Amino acid sequence: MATKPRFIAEPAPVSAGPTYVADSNTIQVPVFPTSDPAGNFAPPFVLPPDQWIVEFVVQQPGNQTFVFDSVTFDDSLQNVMIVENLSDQAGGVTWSAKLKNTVSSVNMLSCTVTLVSQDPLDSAFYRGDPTIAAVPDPMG
Amino acid sequence: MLAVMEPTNNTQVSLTGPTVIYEFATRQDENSSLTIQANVIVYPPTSAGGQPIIQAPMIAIPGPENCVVVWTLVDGSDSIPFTRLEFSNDEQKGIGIPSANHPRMPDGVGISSSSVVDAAPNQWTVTVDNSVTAANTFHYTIFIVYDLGNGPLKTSHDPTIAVVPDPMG
Repeated sequence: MATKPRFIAEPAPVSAGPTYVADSNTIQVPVFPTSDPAGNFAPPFVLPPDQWIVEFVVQQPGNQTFVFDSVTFDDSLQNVMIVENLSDQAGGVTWSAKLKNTVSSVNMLSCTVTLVSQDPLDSAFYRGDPTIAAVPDPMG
Repeated sequence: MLAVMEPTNNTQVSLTGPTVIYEFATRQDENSSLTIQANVIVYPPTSAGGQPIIQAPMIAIPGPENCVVVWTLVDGSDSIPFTRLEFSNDEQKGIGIPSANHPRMPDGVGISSSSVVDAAPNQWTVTVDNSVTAANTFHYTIFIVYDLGNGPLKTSHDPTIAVVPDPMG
């Protein structure tokens, strides 16, 4: 059984899920900093077939500001291509990557999202690994 | 198609498209079930005699977990609303898992309860026990009764659910 995340902003913030903006083939995924060793927290999401922009968005806890350090994907998964993942997004509160899914059966894409605090007294890296299921079935 | 879920509190969910919401903030503790809210948007037929258009969200069920999935039918009509929009609850149950069209279920996935929500015929709840060891998917069937003012009609839709062995996070 999964443990409940310990959010930096207590009481725990919100419930959330991914946002599919099909008109622009974009999936928006909220990322919540937590004090767990895992570091941050994002809802699982499904990657439908074809090309999608995955946009991670930091949800700021209280008065502490977090920004992206990096987002990395496992590029060894067959039939999921990392089309674009620009590293110059470090320091921002959103991070976009372009993925192309051509799987013929469901598979999971590994991903590591790393945040850093802009508090000069907090030099920790807040890492999380959201679950991404690449599926062959279109939305609908 | 637009599916919108912006991080917000539970009472301010935008319903302009199919949404899936993981209720991790309201979860009591790690031993309680995780509730997943799935809003299904139903649009009226675009032509006389046509079928309504049903848009269901893509749900990924984390594991190992007992997840309570609550589907809610939402009227997506712009002008003429449905006079009735609810889950079928006769020989065809509102959420068919497994359904006659899709009898195959992945190993490690069980259904321990399935019923309409009391006093809310547009809501159906299913408890999914997910203990898969590898990611998988299955189809299910949504059975709907609707009325546009000319008497009740039935329709159905077959979306996909992904089950994964990863816990939330």
